[in-house]
Amino acid sequence: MRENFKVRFEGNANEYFKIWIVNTLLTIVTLGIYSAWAKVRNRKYLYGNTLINEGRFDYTADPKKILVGRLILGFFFLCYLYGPLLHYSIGLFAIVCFIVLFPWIIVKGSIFNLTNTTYKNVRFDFTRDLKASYKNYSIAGLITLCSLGLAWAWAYCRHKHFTISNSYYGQKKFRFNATGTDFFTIFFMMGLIYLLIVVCLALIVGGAAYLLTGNISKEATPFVGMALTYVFLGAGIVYITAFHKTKIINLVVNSSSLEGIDFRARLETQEYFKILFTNALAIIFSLGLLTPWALIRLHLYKCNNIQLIADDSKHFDEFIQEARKGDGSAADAALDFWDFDIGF
Amino acid sequence: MKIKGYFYDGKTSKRHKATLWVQGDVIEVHREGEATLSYPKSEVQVEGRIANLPQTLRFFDQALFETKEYDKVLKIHPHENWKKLLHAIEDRWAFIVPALCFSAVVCYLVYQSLLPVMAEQMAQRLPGKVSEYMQDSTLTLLEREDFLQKTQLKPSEKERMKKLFEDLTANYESIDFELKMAATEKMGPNAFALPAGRIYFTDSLYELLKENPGEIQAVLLHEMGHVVHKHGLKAAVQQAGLYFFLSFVVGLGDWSTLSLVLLSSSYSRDMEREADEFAAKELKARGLEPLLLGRALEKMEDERKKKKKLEIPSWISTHPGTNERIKSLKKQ
Repeated sequence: MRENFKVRFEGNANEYFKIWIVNTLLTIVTLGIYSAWAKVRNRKYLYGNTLINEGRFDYTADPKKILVGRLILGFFFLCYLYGPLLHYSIGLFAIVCFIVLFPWIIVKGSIFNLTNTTYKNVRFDFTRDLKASYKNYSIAGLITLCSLGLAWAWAYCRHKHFTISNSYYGQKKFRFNATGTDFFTIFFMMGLIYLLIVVCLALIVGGAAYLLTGNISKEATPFVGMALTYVFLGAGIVYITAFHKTKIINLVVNSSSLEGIDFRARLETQEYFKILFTNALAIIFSLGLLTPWALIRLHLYKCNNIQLIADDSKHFDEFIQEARKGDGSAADAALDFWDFDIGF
Repeated sequence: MKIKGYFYDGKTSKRHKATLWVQGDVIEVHREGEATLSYPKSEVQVEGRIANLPQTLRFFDQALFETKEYDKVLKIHPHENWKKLLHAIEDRWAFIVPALCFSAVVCYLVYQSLLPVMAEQMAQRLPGKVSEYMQDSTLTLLEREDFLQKTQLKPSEKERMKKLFEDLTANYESIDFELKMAATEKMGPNAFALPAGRIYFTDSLYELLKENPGEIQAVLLHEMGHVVHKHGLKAAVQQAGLYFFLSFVVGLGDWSTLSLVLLSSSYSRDMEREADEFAAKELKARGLEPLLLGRALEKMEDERKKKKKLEIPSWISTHPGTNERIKSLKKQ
């Protein structure tokens, strides 16, 4: 008899608001440097309040490394953005660097994020296999290029497969069994919805213009048309985002497993859309002050709709910590310096 | 002192109900049915409290103890006052409210004063090559989108426009001004300037203003104002700065782009006002009426209304309302 375990979230918008505002204040006062410490505190709050079977998550990253990572990434981004102003080759160089380093960045970033994430004081981890990463992303790149982007779903699946099936919790490895076709179905549906939205938008605005002509003053007509376009186009974009997020999360979570533990996600596009749409309105009309409330709401919805299935609760006690690889050696200290955080 | 909580031994994910005994320089971990562990107090790290999460004690062998008996935890290392600071601030509305007000004021000042001033300074200092690069990339975009077609004006009309333009640019020889006439279906009567000095003037705008050369010159001067004040560069720097501020400092994350669109329109309106002022000043210097620009704007607006083009509400528009612009031109 398998048992269901809910993901519980204990945080609330009130507490989170205070953490957020103090983070913002200190970031402003330190001219942005504190943003790395703010990120850690923010994550510690969200992770720590997320519980499965009475065990908490934690985020243990060193803010100094996050700062270094941000500086390096910022430098490359500036080169890409403004380099061409100085010499045309600089922007190109930044892009080439990014492409060549991408598989390395994926591995390094995943190692950093996962080794600094714990559940019940046991660390997550990621493979050190750079060769596999280069192989995987070369193939994914070729698939995309040769199909002129049409087979993007299969490349994306390779990416998800690589990042998930190379992750560990303690000494146990995750498994992932979705196929490119599953992802393709989602992307294809997104395309159809996009078309549908464009057609609806044209019908609604056109219809409204036809009905309203002559009924309201000439000055008001353009405003009504503009407002309708804005609201429906905005809602359309939010709907596609909601569809994309819920379907991908459901697929990825349901296709993953970890040594006798299965995951079940049942996010609904309609519900997710309602939350995103009201969040956007709340943030705009509160001039950003309701941002923490909006984030908590979204996180809570995700937690409430994800479950774990395991034989019994003892299973969660039996994971064994992987010894830190090569603790204390000089080579690892050098490698360690290059472990930095990358947020995509 | 005894502290109740949960203990993880650092080797497995098992959670043990445990009691810490803090005695002198030693901390002992007591668990039911397990051997007692003991650690030197000086090597136990106490993490700062965050909201109502259990507070964490970390031991050198990766073991961990978590408890909600916050007051007792404080007594383990009584001198580490700085670790209490953040929670102490977050816990009191007396600190939060001023922090909120302070942040709001700073954000407003950054948005309203600091970013525009910094962008202005940077735009003045960046080499002219930068403007050229921006102009070239815009041109490539215009060509790719097939935005502009070849002008349908007669050679005599083209010559007339050229003369009107050269009359204005004589004072600004350091800038590489160039006038391009173009036909376009997408834009209607309009004119716009690229950062390095190229100015586009559409055929339909010429048709609209051709009776009055003063009005044509007023529009040309407005566009020249954008170039002289380096508005293209300034806008690029300003928007990059604003995006950085919104996403990293305010922490808006995914919402940064939306906010950027809403907030940067005010910068654009300021630039339009500056270009209007430039045109008004130059017109006066030539003994012409500043209101010529106002009349040209009115004609363009009438044309837009005739075609029932959609109007953008003023608070999000890139240009100030025509009435407001005419009013301030009257004052000049």
